[in-house]
Amino acid sequence: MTNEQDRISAIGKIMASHTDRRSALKAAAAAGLIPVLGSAAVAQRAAAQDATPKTGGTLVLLGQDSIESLSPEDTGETVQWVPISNMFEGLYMVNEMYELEPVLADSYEPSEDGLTYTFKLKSDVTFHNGDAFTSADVLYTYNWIMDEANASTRLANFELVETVEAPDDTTVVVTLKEADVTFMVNVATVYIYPEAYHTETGENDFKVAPVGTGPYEFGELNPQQRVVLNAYEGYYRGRANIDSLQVDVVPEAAGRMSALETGQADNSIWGLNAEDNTTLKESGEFTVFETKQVATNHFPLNNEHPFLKEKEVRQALLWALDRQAFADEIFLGQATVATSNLSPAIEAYYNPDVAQYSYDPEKAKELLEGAGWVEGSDGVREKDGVRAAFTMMVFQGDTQRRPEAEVAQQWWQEIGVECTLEEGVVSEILGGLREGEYDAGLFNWVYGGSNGDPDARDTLGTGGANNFFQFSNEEVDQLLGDGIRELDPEARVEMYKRIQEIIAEEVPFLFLLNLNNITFYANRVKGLPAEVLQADNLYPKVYQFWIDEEA
Amino acid sequence: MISYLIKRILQGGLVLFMVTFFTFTVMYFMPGDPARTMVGQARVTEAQLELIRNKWNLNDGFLERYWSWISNLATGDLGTSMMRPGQPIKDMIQSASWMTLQLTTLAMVISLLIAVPVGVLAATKRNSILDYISTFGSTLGVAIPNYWIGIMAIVFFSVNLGWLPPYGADSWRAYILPVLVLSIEEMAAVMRLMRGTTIEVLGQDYVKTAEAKGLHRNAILTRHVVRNALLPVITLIGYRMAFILSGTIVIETVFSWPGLGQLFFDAITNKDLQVVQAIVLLLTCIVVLMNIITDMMYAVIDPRVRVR
Amino acid sequence: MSEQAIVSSRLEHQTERLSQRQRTWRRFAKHKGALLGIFIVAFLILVALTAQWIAPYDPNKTNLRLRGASPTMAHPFGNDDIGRDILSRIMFGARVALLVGITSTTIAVSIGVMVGAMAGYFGGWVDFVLSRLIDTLMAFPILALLLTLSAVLGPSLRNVIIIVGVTFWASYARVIRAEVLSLRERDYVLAARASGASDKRVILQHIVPNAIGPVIILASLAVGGVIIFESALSFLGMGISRPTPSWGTMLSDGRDHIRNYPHIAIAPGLAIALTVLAFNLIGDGLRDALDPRERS
Repeated sequence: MTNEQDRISAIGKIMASHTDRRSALKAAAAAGLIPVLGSAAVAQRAAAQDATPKTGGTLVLLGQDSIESLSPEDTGETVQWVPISNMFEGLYMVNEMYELEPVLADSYEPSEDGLTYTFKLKSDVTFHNGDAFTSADVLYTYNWIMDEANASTRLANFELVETVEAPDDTTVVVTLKEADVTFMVNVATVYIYPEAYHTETGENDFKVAPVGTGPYEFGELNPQQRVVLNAYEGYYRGRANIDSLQVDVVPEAAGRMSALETGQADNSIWGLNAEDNTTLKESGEFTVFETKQVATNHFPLNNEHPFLKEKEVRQALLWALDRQAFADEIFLGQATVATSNLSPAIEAYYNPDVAQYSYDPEKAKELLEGAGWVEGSDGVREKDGVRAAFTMMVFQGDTQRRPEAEVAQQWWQEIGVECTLEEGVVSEILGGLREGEYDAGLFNWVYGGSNGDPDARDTLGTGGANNFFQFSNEEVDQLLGDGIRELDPEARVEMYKRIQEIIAEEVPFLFLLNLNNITFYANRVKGLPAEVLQADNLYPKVYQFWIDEEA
Repeated sequence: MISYLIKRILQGGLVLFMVTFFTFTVMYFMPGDPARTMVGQARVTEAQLELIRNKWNLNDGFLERYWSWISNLATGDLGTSMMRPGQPIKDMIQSASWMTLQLTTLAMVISLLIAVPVGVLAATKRNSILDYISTFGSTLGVAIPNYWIGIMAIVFFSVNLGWLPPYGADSWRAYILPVLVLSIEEMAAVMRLMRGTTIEVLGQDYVKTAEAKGLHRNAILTRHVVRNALLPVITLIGYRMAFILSGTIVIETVFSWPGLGQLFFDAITNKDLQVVQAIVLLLTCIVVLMNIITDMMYAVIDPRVRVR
Repeated sequence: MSEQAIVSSRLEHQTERLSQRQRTWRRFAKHKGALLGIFIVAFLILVALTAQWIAPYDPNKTNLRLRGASPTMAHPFGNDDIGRDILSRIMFGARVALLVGITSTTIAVSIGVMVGAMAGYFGGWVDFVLSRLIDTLMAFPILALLLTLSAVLGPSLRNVIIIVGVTFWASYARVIRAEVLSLRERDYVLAARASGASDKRVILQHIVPNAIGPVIILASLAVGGVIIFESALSFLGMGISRPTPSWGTMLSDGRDHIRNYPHIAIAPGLAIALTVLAFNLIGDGLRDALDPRERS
């Protein structure tokens, strides 16, 4: 349901707390990116020690949407990212504990000024077609992405990359235009193409006949039905235990649930209904990872909209919502009411002492009256010829979150505000909100906290790439800018707590809930870790799992 | 005869052109940006979107794009799908239509096997219990939305009883529910028609003559009645097979069936103009061909048609 | 032809029409199924017209505490996934179904009769152009066309009515054209033309009334089909926009919760089936009455 957003930002963002960048970056590699994450967010399970791994079997995962491509270019949809992440590898990866983990590289060394990164590569890696992996492949991949003619979807990550060099077969040197603390998670995790093969096939053919270095190699693909991957015998970290990895496309939530219950599938990549989560949790048939999402479930609002541009209006809209009822009745308690932009999962920075908005329609009406919005003849308020009306975009087929919008629509009608609902495709809605073409939306997004760091420049900063609200606040900009330079951890915490206060006061978006992320693995799947912060990031670790048919 | 055939083919070609031109126009003016749809959730700059648009010729004018589509088509090239650039559209459509064809053919065969005999029996035993049941059943079968039956069947047979898989197209067991659900509507339609035409044929003079000659009733039924009554049914089958997509698009969604209907729906939501065009082209070809064949059959049977 | 001949031919033709109508009506009235259909449709229209008074609850009023609640005395059909009263939504949904079914069919019949009559009456290049237009529409896979148009125009009640209206007329046009082709050589039409009546007058007064029978049969049978298409469109999320209660949308909500709250999908499914059944029964009755060949 929302995993997608969490995962993207996990890779797309960075901790930026240390001023001594070099030591910070080294520390990150050694000790994990974020030492600050509270235990509240950690999913722990009673770790019965698994027996000796067995070989064989097929792991069946369920996706909700057709699988159009298996190229690293197209990891936007989780259902595509999962198989891709098992066939491809980058120099480094961010794992399920948000730690940076070496994959195709053995080590890296940033320069004193943070402008060059030198990677030492593994020397015993081969691609699925037998070609040896060398620095030339890294060079090729990075240059291919940076070549504007290829219109790569990953180009934005390379904005600050100046040059890439390969002095010898196992060394890669990347030079940056300016120091960039996001480099390791943004660039070093990019999946590597096999130079010879990719040149030969071209990107389009590569999408359906991919070749990488990962633990699984491509088997078959029927976009509307399934993708099958097979264990790659020559994998440098040892052949995967499970023979085949299969992703079945099942758009219907009921179909996915039946498949899990009957044992036809082991895990659903895409979320289930709240009722089904409860059923599966109680069944005892699954290993359950339940974590608090870093993302916030919210209605983004266009802060330049003639009606929504007023702070009092946005506050009134929030007063009119019974968010506790959302949490209790729609998500059956698998969520808590959000207070501002940060999730309580980011314990160290989370600020509960901000302006609170309980359910109080009368208060909402007062605020609107006070701001000059008076009821018109059709029951909808208006002021200076502007109607208190806006359109909210909901993702097509988003059956889990859509009820929030449908209920809010009714609650707002009671305070004289008209909200029209429309459905659209994800990319269209995100793009339209970024450009200020839409009034409002409904989805989950991370506003600080991915990888545990509260930085939110690209979402809350003026002109940020993912500023869906056209939000601009001088003090917030100042704090966000200072926040990535502040040395004193306590002073830094205060800065981000202040940001939460401002957001809670300004309400640039209607923060609704912090949902729980619930992931199920059938009991027959063994080798799962005891602790997980980001369950989606377990998928690239499938090669370590094994199947115990007797379980 | 030949000139009539040529005329029909030319007309068919014209229809084909108009249908594809119309679809192209509608798709071209569809709101939204296919480039944005293509990058999905990825965060991209306007400059990158512009690159993608240029790469896919999305910035070209209407006529320019239509001309390039037509001229590619002339060389047998259906273009490249924006949602699955790696897969030739031909392969995509081939595998999807095979899945849909299996579904519709099986459904059609099953419905004929049941509906034809029942229709004939109901006609010969008018006002019997069987007649009432079949008439009522076929009226109901047309009225109940088949996708609703599909949903209920999933709940009952897959969820509650666990007998049949709720989705997919892997084993023969996965075919049972979609085929049966799809056959209900066909069955109802064929049964109604079969009953009606049989009654009509039974009233014809030659049947009465045969009866007067003292021929055995079963012989009359098989030799004269059923054969003549089947003709309109064959036309109906042709017609319904030509419109396979309309019948299966919702059922394929309900059963997650990887067929043409799902492909079309995906293509529409992804604004994949090339794939939509290709499917519409294929389906219109089938309809036009079916129409010409039916017309030719009628022309052969009834020479008056040719005069018009 | 003398003046008198024209008058007498006209008279003859009118009496023929009158007595035919009476006979038709008698046949129709004897058709039990058709009467049942009329009764159901009348009931549905009554419900649709008085929904705001007889519905027990506001159809859009949500109550999260009743999420998926099973049928009770207070809510005989239960509540949906956001606690709305299903019975009330079914009642208001009748409005949408009938509005779409009847309005779209009326639009389609009007366009079809106009185009078909023109094609048949004028012949020549007018016929050629219009016939190709009819062929084109008939060749389109209807649901595919509906989906495409709906994706372009955006889903709303008005758009669905228009889309269905402008895509469904081809079959009526084809029938009318064929009828007109045979009618235009009839004596009374020839007489009317000879007496200098305008084309418009001849078409509207002499041809259309005589050709309309088969169209009425087709149309009454089509209303059911239109209602199913609308529900399918809404079911696929490309029909009526929320929160307007449409049976198709309700069914789609029901499908999402089919495992936990199966009752959400049952009522709208039955409502669609009943309505379509009623219109089909009327259509059958009309066909039996108007088209003696198929009379049982």
